[in-house]
Amino acid sequence: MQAESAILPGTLDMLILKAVSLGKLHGYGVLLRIEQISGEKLQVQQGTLYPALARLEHDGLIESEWGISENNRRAKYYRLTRAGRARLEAETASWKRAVSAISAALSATARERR
Amino acid sequence: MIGRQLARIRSVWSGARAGEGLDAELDEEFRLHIELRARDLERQGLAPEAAMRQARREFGNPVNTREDVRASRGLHRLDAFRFYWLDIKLGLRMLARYPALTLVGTLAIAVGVALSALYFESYQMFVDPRMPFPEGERVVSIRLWDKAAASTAGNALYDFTMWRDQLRTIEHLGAAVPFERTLRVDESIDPVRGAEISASAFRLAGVKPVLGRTLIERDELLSEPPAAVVSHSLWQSRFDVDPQIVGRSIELGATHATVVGVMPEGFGFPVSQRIWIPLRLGGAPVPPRGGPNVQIFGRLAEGVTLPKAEAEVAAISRRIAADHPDTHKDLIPRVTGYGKPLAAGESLMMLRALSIVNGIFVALLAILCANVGALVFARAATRGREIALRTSLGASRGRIVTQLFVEAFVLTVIAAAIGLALARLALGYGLGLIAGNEAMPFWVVAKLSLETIVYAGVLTLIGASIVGILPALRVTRGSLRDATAGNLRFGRLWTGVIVAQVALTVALLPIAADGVLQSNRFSNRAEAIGAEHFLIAQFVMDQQDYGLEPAAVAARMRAAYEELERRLAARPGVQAVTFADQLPVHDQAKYSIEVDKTSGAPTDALRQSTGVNVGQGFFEAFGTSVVAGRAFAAGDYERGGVLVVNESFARLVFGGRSPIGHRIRVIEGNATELPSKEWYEIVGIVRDFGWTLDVPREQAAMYYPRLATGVTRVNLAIRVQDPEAFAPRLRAIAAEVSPLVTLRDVQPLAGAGGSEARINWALTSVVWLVGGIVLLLAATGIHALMAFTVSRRTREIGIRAALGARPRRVMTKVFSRAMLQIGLGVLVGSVIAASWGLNSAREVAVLLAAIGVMLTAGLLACAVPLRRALRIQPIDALREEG
Repeated sequence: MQAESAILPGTLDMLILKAVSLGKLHGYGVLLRIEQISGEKLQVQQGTLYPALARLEHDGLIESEWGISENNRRAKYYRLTRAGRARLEAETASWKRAVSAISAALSATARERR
Repeated sequence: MIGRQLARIRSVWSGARAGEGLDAELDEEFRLHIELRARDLERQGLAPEAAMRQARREFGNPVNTREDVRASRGLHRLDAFRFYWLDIKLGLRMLARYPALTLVGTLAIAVGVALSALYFESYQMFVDPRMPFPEGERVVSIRLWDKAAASTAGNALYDFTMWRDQLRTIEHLGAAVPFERTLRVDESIDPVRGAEISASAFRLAGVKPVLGRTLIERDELLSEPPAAVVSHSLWQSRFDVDPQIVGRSIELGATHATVVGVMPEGFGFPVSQRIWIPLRLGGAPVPPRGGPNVQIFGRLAEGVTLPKAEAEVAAISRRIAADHPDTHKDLIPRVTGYGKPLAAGESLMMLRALSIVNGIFVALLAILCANVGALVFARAATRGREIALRTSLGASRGRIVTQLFVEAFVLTVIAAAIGLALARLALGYGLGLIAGNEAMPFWVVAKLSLETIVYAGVLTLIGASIVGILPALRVTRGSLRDATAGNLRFGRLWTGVIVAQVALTVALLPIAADGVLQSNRFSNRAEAIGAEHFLIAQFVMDQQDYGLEPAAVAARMRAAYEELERRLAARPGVQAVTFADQLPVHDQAKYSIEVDKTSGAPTDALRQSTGVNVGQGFFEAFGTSVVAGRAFAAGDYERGGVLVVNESFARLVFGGRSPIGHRIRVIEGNATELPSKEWYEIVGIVRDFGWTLDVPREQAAMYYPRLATGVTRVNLAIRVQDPEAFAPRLRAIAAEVSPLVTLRDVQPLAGAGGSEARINWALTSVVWLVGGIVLLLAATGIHALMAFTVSRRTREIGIRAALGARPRRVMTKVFSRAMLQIGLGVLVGSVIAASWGLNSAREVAVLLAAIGVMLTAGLLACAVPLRRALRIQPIDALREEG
């Protein structure tokens, strides 16, 4: 088993949006999907998942409906809204910019500093 | 972003609405999560039970998660103020646990709510009524206001015909001439109130008859047979609910008519009419300002507002005024909602008076609620430990305030329900009293309207806030340590409330006492004049022919009265017949007078007197006689210009000199009853009689000779052995004299004035009730303050006692505040009472008695806590330190 790492603060919402952008999911499914798409490298604190889902729904970024789970139980499924998709794209773009900026900063050498 | 805000509102709204359901949904979601996780753990090789345990551990505490979810949906703020059935149960339990507080609080708020609701309902009835018709608020009345005379000009028939032909904004325009005529049905002869009315009135009302038909336009033609429509109550009382009434012929005054229909119950248009005959304007054209006094009404046309209609009426009236400047230059037409008073002159003053009354009632309710709130506060303060405990168990401040509010709310809701029931009872009783023998306008019914109940509901909510939230905020303001240490103080607000209540008590009790003394006056009056041998009635004559000159009308009335007098006097057993505009049971008109300078009357003496217009034989009939000067001679009734005064008048106005031969005149008073600016010579003095008043200064009376010409009211008084038995004979004799004569309110003198006495009694009881409750609350408030202070300062008092302080010093120290409040209240109350007038030694005595009652109540309220304070031992003080 690979070592799992905790999610960076402030990135959980973005990861949830990404997870549900690939298809509708129930709460536990969101958790599994995040682990799966991160190559089992990211682990979500289970207690923080549902408040985050509620927050996103509250802000109209995702919406929910009741459906039937794989074990034939009533389950609440979450789906990305149009506003959520726009937000995900914006967040992704800004994340990429930040990451490249930070990696550029971190890979700087003394020569370039002058 | 709008979309986002909408999503938020939806989320909070659905969360708030789902309530407990939301928690259940979350639990279901969590359960599924844990089960799915456990299944995955099983797949990884854990035993089922171990897998479940592991899954639960990973998930953490679902209760916390749930709270976090609610918080992220913005519901936590709402949760703090959510109240549960439990709070209501707690509230009810608290009411049962403190019965004294519950009783006093409920009673006080109930009376406050009842008074406010009564006020609101009467305001709607008399100032802002709505007709009980379909779209009744669109019914309007048009009146002509005479600027010069500052009164309404009733003879507007000419204007009515103009408006009727030209107005487009008001439909179904109609006019009514109210009358009171004798209705003969078989053997019964009784006056009935009715109206000659335009047929359009029935279309305007949109009310269907229960039998036959209403009046129609055809009935207004002179060529048609006379038709009459009767009210439901008349059908019941005079026709025995005869199903064959349609087609029956009746005799109404000097005319005959055929009944064509019966209106449903509650219909009395224009005011309280019971029979309607068509208004026929087919004869000679009406001259400007000619004809009888009429009431004019109509319905606003579709989509027309009141100002628009008024503008059109005004435009037409300007044209009339241009054509007839001599009669119309001072007239302004006014269009108002039907039944509403004109906002001018007296009615404007009445409106102001009503709004002041409203202010007083609302202020009273606020004071009562504030005091109950203070009592609740005192109680809540003793619950400091409970509140501290709940706080430390995690209850938020909002949650505790909510609980205390709900407790107060339960109390005020119960009180408001009782108050509304009281108001409903009092309304029925009060309307009966005010109406007396008359009928109320048909739109006045003894029911509380929905608006009144809503108004009372709003007051209740405000009251509950005063009672519950203010004390709760104060109790929960301090930190935990403060609450347990009891570091609470009564604010200035409460001091103000107690002072206000003490002042109110001191000011109200004399009024209440005065009311009781007044009621004696009514019974004394009747005894003094031998009322049991008089039959009285108001003599009214129907004008019928509106073309007659005023002088001819007066002559006809005088002839009819004198004929009646002759016939009555010829009857065996009739000892005397006379009349006056006010008989010795009626209240009298007061006048300001001026005395001629040559009389030598002291200038600082009384310049006020009551005045009565009397007919021939008045003094003899009531068994009094002239003690100086002469009685009225026959010529005096024709010429006027002379007065007879009573002994009190001679004493109070002329300071004991003889007033005979001197002149006085009326400066101010009711001009139609006793003309002002005219000099009267005093020709005789009679003994005081009849209207004996308790206040000597009000006993001056003057009498003016009058003929029964209709200038003043003609209230008959007939002295017979058995008035009750003579009443039907009187009616029959009057009917013989002329069919136009109507006798209103035929009754024994002994029974008359009873309604005045009852109104006095009812008002007096209200003042007693309010005064009593305010006194009770003031005493309870003082007691609570004292008890509170003593329990808070047990330690201090104990230590002082241990250090050898004398009891008196301890007392003054602790009770100085209560004494200050009582003293200040008594002072303010006395000033208020004095400003209402202290006219006699008796009134001063009554005020002193009221102060005495207040002081006694205040001291009694202090007594119990005082005893406790004096018994505090040093050991108690040590024990107190818990």
